[in-house]
Amino acid sequence: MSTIASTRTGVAVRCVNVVQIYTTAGGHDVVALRGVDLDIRAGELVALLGPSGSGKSTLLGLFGGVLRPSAGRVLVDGTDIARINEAELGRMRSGTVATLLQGASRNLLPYATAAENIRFARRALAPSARRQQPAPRELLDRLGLGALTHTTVAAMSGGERQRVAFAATVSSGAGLLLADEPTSQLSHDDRDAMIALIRQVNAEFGTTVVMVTHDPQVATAMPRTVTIRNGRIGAEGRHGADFGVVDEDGAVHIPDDLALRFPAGTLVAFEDTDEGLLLRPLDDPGRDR
Amino acid sequence: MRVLLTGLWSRRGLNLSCFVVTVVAVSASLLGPMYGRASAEHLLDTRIDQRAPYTTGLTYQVPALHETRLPFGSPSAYRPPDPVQLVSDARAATQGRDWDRYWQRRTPWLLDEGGQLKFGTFLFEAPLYWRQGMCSLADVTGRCPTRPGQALVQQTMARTMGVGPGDVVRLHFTDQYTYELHDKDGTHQTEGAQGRTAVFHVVGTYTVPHPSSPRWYDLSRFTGIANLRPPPTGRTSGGSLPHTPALLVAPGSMTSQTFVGGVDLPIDTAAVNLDTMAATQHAAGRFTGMALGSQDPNVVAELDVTSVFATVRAEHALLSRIMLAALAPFVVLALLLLFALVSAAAQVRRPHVALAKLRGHSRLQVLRFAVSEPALVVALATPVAVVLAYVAARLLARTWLSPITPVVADQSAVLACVAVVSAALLASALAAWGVMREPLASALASATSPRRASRAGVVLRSAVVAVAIASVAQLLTSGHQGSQLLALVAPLFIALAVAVAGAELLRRISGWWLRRTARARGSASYLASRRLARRRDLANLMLPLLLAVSVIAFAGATSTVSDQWRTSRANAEVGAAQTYLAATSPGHLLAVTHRVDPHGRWLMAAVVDNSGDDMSRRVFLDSSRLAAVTSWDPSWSSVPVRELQRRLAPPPGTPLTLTGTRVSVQVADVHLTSATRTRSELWLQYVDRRGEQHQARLGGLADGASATLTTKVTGCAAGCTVQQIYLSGQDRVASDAQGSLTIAAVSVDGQPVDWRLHDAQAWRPARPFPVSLVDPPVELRASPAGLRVGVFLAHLPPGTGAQPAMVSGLARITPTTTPDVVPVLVARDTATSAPARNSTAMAIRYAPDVVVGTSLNGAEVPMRVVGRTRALPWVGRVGAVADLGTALDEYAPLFGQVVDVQLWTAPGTPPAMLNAVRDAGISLSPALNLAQRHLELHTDAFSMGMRLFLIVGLATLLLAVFGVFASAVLQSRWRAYEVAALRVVGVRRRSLVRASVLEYVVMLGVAAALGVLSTLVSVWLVLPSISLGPADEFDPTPVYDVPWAVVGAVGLGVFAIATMIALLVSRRIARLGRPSTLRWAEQG
Repeated sequence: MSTIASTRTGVAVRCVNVVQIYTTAGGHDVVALRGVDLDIRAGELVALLGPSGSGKSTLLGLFGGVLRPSAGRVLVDGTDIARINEAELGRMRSGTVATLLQGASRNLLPYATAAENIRFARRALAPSARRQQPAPRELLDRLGLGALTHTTVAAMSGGERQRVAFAATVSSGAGLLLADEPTSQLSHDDRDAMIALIRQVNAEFGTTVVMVTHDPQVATAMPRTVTIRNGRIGAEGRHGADFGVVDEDGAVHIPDDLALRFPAGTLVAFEDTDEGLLLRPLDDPGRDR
Repeated sequence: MRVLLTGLWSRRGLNLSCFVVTVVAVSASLLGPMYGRASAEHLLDTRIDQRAPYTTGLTYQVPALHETRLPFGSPSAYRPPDPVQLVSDARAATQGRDWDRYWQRRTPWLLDEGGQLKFGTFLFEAPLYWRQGMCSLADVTGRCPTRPGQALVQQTMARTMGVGPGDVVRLHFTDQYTYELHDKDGTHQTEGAQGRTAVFHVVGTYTVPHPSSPRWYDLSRFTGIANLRPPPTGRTSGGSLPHTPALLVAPGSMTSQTFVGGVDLPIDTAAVNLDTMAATQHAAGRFTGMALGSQDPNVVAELDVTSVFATVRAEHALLSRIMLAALAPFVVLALLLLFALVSAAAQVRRPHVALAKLRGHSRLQVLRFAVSEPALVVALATPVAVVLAYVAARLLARTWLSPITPVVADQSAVLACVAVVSAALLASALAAWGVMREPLASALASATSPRRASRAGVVLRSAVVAVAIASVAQLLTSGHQGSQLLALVAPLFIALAVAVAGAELLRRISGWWLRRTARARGSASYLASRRLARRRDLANLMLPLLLAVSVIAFAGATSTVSDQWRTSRANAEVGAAQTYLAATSPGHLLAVTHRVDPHGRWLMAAVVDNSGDDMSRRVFLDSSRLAAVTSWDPSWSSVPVRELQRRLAPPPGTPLTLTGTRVSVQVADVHLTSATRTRSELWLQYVDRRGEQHQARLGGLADGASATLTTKVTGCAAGCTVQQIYLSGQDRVASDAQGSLTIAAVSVDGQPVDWRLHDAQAWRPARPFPVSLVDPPVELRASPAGLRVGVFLAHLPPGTGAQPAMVSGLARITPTTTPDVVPVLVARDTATSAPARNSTAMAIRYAPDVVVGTSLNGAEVPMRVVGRTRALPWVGRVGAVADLGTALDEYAPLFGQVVDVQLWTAPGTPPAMLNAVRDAGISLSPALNLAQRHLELHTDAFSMGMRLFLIVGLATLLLAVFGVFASAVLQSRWRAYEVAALRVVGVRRRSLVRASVLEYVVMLGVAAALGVLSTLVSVWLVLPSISLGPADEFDPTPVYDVPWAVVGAVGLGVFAIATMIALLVSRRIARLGRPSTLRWAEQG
């Protein structure tokens, strides 16, 4: 029996001025990401936040090699995914990166059992790499899903499916786990169990985890959050504290709660004070005082 | 494997559909060649059975005496060989060299054709025959001859001769010998002959129930006709006639110089098949080579397996082409449906394929994952299809062919099966490839984006149209020399082209309809037109139904045209439901049929002669029964047969009759001269109640005197019909008389009778005899003194030159109830010519519709064409039909002329009628049977192929209906989302159902209509290029009219089915399309 820890190492991800443009069916171009710069260290646990259409899933797709950037560089474990061919991308998806799609059913063969889904997920691994992975039953036991080993997916509950989907996704021993809304449509208990699993994998195996979520509670549980707004990195959170992010143009996004006080077009003045940088609107009454 | 099987089961609906379609396609690919092969085997057996056994079997004979070894000195020096030894010699000569392999065991026989039988004034050839087991093969009344001098006599012959058991039959033999002749030139060896009589005691009578069976081996090959034909009554002199049926005797009766011993080896149909035909042919060739060196070449020449096998090979080839033409659209449709279904299945598996790619599976692994399921379906379906095809082929062979016909899968069947299975696997791989090549990001999206028409698709559609146009152009320009295979598959190309063009046309019409309905109030029409205008799969949905309609309607049309043609051929070849050779004179048969069947419902007398060309191919029949008795085919003429019958009939009038025993004719003012000093005589020609024609000599004519000429008439006690009075030389020799005489009065048995001698309209000059197309050498003038007859033999009436010698023999007058110009029906392709107008021998000017015809006695006569038809009974598309009674009155057969007299009977003729004819002394031998001929023509290769074509057409329709229905049902789930969305925005359910029904009815209805259009194009352009089977020279030609009833029925039937599909699918969509459906869509 192989040990899980011996096969796992986290993978670092780096985005350099990544731009992603879609062409719609009607022939129009839509800019999804506008010069994103982001560094994720190996073994880090990161949640991507942001409103719908902000570009979170696009960024996840780029990390997973599902998409190629229109411009900029996406480095996964030091490899620029824009510069490798389909076969190498496939190899990367088989062993380096694992993607958990939104919706449990999309990650599983519904007519197969949990164990068969794990074998299916590992089919692309080289035989030697496959031998290093724990047996499906062992993996499921480790993740507390041993009872579902021989259960067909169609017969599982929503929460069970999501956890089995997670197990299948991580079963290849990838160093980077990308999870798109892993807790959506789950009950509170299932959601907590899911978060626990993610933490467990991150903690035990050192797997880098990048997760898209809308759930504030999930975000709170993550040591690092990155908020995407209009295709840019809008803010970051570290251990519960929110920070603005200065981009390469010197622009900084104001946190949402403060943005309400600064309607678009508001003129602001910057004052470097002892307490820090003071942002003062032009018609701020305090200035008259 | 478990994942594969559970996946298979999870999509069981789709996979089952794929399974069914694959089974159908593979079965069809196997069934066609297997049935084709079985049909060819059946045809081989049938063609062998239809031939006389001696043309396919081997016969070897050894003569008792070689003509170069005649006895010397006296016939008594001849010592006949042992008959048993003779047949043993024949048997030994046929041992070995594959002859035992392909021919059955040997049957020995002995035959002596040297005897002659005298009956009345006639002399017949009367053979003696012995065959092993003959008394069990024949129906014998009495006992089998066991000793020399005993004989069985054929039943009809015994009845005719009035002999039975215990009587004696004498045969006269002529024995030859050589002797030395001493004369002034020395001593010569020369041949002599000496007659002797052999006496046979009749021990019984026999009939042979199946004279042409391989076991009896058709004795008529040696002895000619199988029935003793008594001499026609009314004749006064004899002559040599053909053979009588053989006397069956014991071997010991064979003692003459002329007998032969032989063996027959009928062909073994169980051993001869398509594979062994060549070897059989080779063996037959070796036998011919061996036999030619030692026996009568005529016997050997009859062996002709080569032509039988050539016919079978040609029919097999034709059958194979029809199979291919029938099955190609079916298999193409099945593969298209399979492709559509596996594509639908691939779409269902699209997320799973995307998942495999997301998990980093290699291209090969993804392909294996995507293809394994449909490939497994094909793999499971193939053995089932093989078994099904075999069972179906066996069933068809048992039902349509014969229970013993072997059903095997030959090389072509295996190749076809492999090709279709490969095509099915390729279709599966293509469908999987379509999903595989989709980018991963797109595949992971929840919906498919609409695809533009691919360039390859456009090219493919253009190619289909181009191939259709090219094939039709090729057929039209090459005429009947074009490829039959191309002609048979051209309808498929046409249907495909019409489908492509039709789909485009429907899309454009839908766009126009959409613009119109967008401004109208009704939402159903708008929604239907919108769906039609936006559908990308129009061609895919229309094609199956269109193709099926086209295939079945074309098969139906071809089959109908072919059936009608074969029926027409049978009707033309046979003439009536059943025909019989009648051993009597035409007049006698005519009279008997009128007496036995006075209403003209069942029986008809006919005289046929189809040995010549054009107008000399002719049938004289009792025209009053044309409509009731003949097998008149409606396709022959647009004029009703009853009207044609009326036109053929002689003009109305009461014939001249005489009743009594003595006729006296008073002549006056006889002024006749003859350059050859030939004495003229006056003759009377009449017909008695039995229909027999008589010539009675009234007496010689003395110049210048008045006289009463009297003759005895026979058979006129109950009345006779006067046909002619004629003047000839002494004893009816030719005369060159010139001058005139007056026929003043007639009396019968001393009582004056009115033969209308004072009526100029009652008599007319008759044509010269023997006849030629010249004016009669007679002028008639009625006067109070009687009928003045001007005679111009040897000179025309104006005296402008000598008549042809053959014309100048007789001067005849006849009552005008016999028409001068005979009405005649002429077949369409008969060449006719008008009587020559510039002849110096012609004074009469005939109307334009008068042509030169051929009379019953073979001479040319003027005939009036009263109708031209596509074909006529017995003669087919070349020949003529005229009234028998009219022909007999003026142009009866010459003395000694052999004519083919037949009795034609209507369907269902009561046996009592035939018995009554036989009781009248007329021997009837069955000649042709319409039902039998009909069956023969309808069991040839083309007919058998067309029958399968129809079945395949029906199967194509069922498959298309299944495919369209399955496709619509598969689409109904996502269509339900659309319907649900429309219901949410307030569109009424009723409107949505109506819109859906309208959409499907229009789409499938247009497909059915285009299928009919495609059929019409094929029938008009392609059908005339298709050979409907081999035809004889004079067979009626096919009528390539569109069988509107068949095409219309198919079109309407399919439209009804389309409407039903539309209703069922629309109701299902409306049922599924509830607002809650949208929630499922959200949940994925």
